[in-house]
Amino acid sequence: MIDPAAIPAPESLEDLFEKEWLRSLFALAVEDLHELCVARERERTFRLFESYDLEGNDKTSYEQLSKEYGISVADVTNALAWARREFRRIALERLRELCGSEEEFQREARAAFGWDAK
Amino acid sequence: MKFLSDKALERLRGAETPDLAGTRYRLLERIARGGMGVVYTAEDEHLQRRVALKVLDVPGTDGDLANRLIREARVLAALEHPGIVPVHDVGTLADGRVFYTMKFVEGKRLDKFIESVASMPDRLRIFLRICDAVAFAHARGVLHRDLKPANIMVGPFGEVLVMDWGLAKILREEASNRVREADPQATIFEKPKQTNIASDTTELSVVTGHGTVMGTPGYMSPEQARGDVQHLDARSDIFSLGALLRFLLSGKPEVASIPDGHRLDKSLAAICAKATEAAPVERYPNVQEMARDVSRYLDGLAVGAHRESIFEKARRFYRRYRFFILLIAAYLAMRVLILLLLHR
Repeated sequence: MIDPAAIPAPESLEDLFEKEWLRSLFALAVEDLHELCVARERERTFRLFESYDLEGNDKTSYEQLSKEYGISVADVTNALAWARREFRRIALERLRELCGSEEEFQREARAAFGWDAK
Repeated sequence: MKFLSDKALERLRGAETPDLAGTRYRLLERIARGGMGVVYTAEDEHLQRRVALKVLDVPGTDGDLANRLIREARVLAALEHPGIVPVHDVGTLADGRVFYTMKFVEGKRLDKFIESVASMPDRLRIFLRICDAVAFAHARGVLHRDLKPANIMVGPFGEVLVMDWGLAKILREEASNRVREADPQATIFEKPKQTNIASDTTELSVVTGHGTVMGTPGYMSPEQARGDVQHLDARSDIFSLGALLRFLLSGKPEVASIPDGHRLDKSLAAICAKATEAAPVERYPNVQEMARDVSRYLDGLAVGAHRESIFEKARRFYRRYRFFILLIAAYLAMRVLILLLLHR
């Protein structure tokens, strides 16, 4: 028997689709970022990004990462800022390839990141 | 392909959120987007107070946008006045983006606020407070260049604050020195070269043969609209104040937009007209003169911008001294009545 309450409403189905679409877009961008980090010999930057932004929880701190990797907190901050910037750039590039027009791209970028893509 | 958790997804969506690590601030929420960047509310953890944090979209400290934001912060720092939002801090975040923090004004934009202010004298009093702040800036050699309702905030206790000095122009060397005194490293720009900064559709940014046009149609003086940046002076802001006054009185900045059947008082219409004359030389020479005319109107006196007919003078005289005139009339009527009764 199928519990009718377990069947998602059309709106939540749409939300679910949006979320899964975003998940795959971001996963592709993360892969690209990894490749970029390897190419630029910044594997540590990717590991920091992975530890903090992909696998981290609320208790993970820059300080904790700095101790773990034996670098300063400022280095952690700079590495994460670089990785996030590159991640965003790559994700927007991927998105632009997938969109048919600039208008569609702006709309999707706003949905993905919450504000206008520049 | 790596599977991303919901938590990771949320973090990545906020990849462009300012990285406040290493600062005294904790991000609270995004409140507005401007031409250059985004304004957030943040908590100053040292002083345990809420501040507004304005941060650029792009990293880097030596681009035109960064220079403009730093200059805006320094201009604000040089203008300590109750009608001008005070700046607390300026710097660069760990992610390389320039930011500054300022007082968080928990109020309403003027265009929203006046919807709840029906009384014309109250609107004029708000206008006079705007004039105070602008006159102060002019006295310090700073032009605002983007005065419009969206850039005026009215606080919960009636405080009026002139915001967004991003287009401000420093007029005199004296003012430049004052900014330099605040920070010897300050860079003073007589003619900002920034282009393409206006994502806000209400703000115009066009490069002309003379310079860069930045401002808001309807509130921008003709000389500013022409891009004649080098010849702008206080009278350009006076034009904007005239449009602002017209907006306060009629809901629109332009004469043609005043709805049918809605007539401004002749004196007030004359003040607006004088302030928004096409030729700067025909306008009020300074903000104080304009404010004086508005104050005189509020006090029931003749205004310099309008030559009254004898009937208008009589009507104004009656309006101003209505109580005494009615008192004397009542007294005389009573005397006549008593005389008539006694002679019966």
